Amino acid sequence: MMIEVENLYFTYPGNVQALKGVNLSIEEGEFVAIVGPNGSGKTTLALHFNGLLKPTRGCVYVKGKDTRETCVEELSTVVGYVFQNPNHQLFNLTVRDEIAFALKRRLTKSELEERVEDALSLFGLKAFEDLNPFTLSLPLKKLVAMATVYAMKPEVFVLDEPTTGQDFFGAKLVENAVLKVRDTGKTIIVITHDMKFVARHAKRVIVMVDGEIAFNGEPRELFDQSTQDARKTLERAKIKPPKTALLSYMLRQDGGFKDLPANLLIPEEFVEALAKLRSKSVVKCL
Amino acid sequence: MSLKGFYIQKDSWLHRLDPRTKMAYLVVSAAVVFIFFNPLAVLAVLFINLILIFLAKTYVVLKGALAKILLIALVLNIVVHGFASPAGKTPVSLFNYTLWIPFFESLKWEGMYVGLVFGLRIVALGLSLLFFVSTTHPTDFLNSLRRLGLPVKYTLMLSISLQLIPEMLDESRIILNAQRARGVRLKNSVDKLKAIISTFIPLTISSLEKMNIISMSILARGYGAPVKPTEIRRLGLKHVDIIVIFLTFFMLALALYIRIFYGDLSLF
Amino acid sequence: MWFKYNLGREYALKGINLSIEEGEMVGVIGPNGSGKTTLCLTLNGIIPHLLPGEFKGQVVVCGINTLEHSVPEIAQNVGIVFSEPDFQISQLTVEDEIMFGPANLGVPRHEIESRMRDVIEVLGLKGLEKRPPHTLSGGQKQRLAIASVLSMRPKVLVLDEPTTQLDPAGTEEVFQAIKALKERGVTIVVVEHKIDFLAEYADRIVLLYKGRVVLDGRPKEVFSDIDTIVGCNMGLPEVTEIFHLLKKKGLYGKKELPVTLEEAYDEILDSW
Repeated sequence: MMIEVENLYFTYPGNVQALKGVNLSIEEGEFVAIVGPNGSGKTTLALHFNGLLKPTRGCVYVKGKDTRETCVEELSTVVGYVFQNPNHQLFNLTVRDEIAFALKRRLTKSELEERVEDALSLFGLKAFEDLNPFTLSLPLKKLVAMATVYAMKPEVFVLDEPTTGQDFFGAKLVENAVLKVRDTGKTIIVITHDMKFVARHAKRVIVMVDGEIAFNGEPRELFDQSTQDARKTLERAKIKPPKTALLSYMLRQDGGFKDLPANLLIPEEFVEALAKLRSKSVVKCL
Repeated sequence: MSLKGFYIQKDSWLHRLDPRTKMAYLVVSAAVVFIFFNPLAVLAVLFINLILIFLAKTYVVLKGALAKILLIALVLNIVVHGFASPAGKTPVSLFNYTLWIPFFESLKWEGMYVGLVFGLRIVALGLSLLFFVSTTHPTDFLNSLRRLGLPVKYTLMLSISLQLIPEMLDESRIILNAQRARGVRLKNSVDKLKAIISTFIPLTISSLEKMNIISMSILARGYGAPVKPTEIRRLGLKHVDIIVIFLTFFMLALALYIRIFYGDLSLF
Repeated sequence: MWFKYNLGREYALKGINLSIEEGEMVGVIGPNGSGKTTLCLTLNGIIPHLLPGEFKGQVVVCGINTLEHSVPEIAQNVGIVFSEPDFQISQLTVEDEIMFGPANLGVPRHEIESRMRDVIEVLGLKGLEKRPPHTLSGGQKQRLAIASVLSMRPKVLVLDEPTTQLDPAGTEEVFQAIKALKERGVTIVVVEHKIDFLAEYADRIVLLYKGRVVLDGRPKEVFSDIDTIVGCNMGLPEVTEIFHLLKKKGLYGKKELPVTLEEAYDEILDSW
């Protein structure tokens, strides 16, 4: 069990209760998305995973270690956290220095070189290694931030809104980088508002509303428009399912497409299903 | 930490005074503490300030960091001047024991007197300032500066700075956390300081950038349009203001009178 | 109209010819760096008055030539909202911020107050009136930025990526507010990456790429031009993507693809 959260309560100074009894477990290698309105506690929860926040009540275990008794510096070698604003994490003169920075006191020179090279090539940053990170575009900065966290070789990658605030191309760049990290076997936790991203890649989605978990399960279940519960959850969280899901639901309910499979999430699936139906069905006469 | 942090919203007649009135008091009280070289005179002003703060019900500001700094300043002044002031002649001895340190010799009464006056002046001034700041809303303060003739360019700049400073502080905190999350060791204050300094330049640049863009948006919001702007906060001198201003200047006049005819009231 | 920033190596805007009717809602799309923000800044005179550079041609808004009038003057008719709320908020409380704009325009006090109540309602800022802006969340700040321009009741409203900082709920609120404004007859220019919204509500879509207008037409027209859109590194509305794939499989033949959910639904029912 990679991360275990038991009855977690957290109150910010000033008596703002951000988390009210959260129970959660995340296994190694999972791809989990945390969604919910702003202020619901997503980031607060995630900041417990690397010990930046300690529970007011309850406990959080990372690989069996209690975060209340482990320091952030140690936890950051297990749980890497990529902040939403890369400017907050970058301050060295070159991309290469940036990636090497936190490793300097922990590794030998050759180990360090190896890690830096590895990170640079995984994220496709070799061409930018001598540039100043601040001069790069936002998606590239995000990649650099990811690379610096990756170089620490944590087992868990937490990303706070990686695709938000970018154009299509930039978002795709970051999305692909996240998938590459996933493919190296890391556990991925993404806080996001991008439901298309969730539909496409998340194996599990956690919906937070007002400091509590409102849903913990597969995206297909969450976006299933035919279940009352799912619909209510989405309403509470003020989230809309991907248009593909809506379209397939509408066609099944009112359009007479009763044979269309439920819970279609992405365009590719939808088109496949429609094609299958088409080849099966008799030509309709309107 | 910004001015806004000191303002305490209560509904007292002192809050409702025009900021210009309170500014006048601030200036006059500052003048009075410097006119006399007698701790009792300074204490008088100090007590007036304390009374004002209590009347305005903003005494919670006395618990803050600034109040503590004032007290430290007072003690420091007494001790430092006690030892080092050239006015010092008579050594201080209690029960036949004299405190003695090399080079500065002993504590002297005259020196302590000097330190007391200086220290109390700082406390009195600090309290005047605290009174002013805790009863005047920053926007009103800036508007009254405008009324007094300060070009609006400067009041706008002040307004933006007051906005940006707490933001920058918040940012530094987030940056420190972000650094820790990527494994940067921030175990002691030196590390923290190094981390903040390394982000200092990009932070300042982005703040300057912000200020530049904010001033553009201000223009884009019609500031300086060829129409007469509407006054939002009604600032005007009411009867109460006139009375207070009169009393303030009376205090000044009295102080000057005493000074001219009776000197600075020094005990030494 | 052509424009090159002083520090720019080449023209940020090249040969732009654009006309927008009163009451139209125009969505401006394009990859980052294509000139969308620059274009927005020419609409209220910030370019060329506050951001100098080489400016050729002219921009006429509400009958006023931006070259001949100052930014504050133009602000009487044109309001602009940027994507970064921190770059627009200058006052010390929420209500000061909202009242700032109309006060500058000499709007009578009681009118300002009623406008303020209106925009606070529309943008969900109730209860926050006395708060200093830096204590607000990102989404609240952005809604404040929009509110403070809205209180000026501009004839033309330019929004540059207004929902970037917002969660889906906040985004929805902003889009609803924009819809309501459209109904009031305000001319709206919105730069957005969330093209699904633009596809549904915009009257026209303008695609900017590398400083030039590459496409300009109805949403259906523009989003059906798949080759150009992909060539400009842009994405499609989700339902359009579905039909694009259907077309590729030979299951759909029409030239123009649906861009909204309703259109997609109807088309599928029609074709099968």
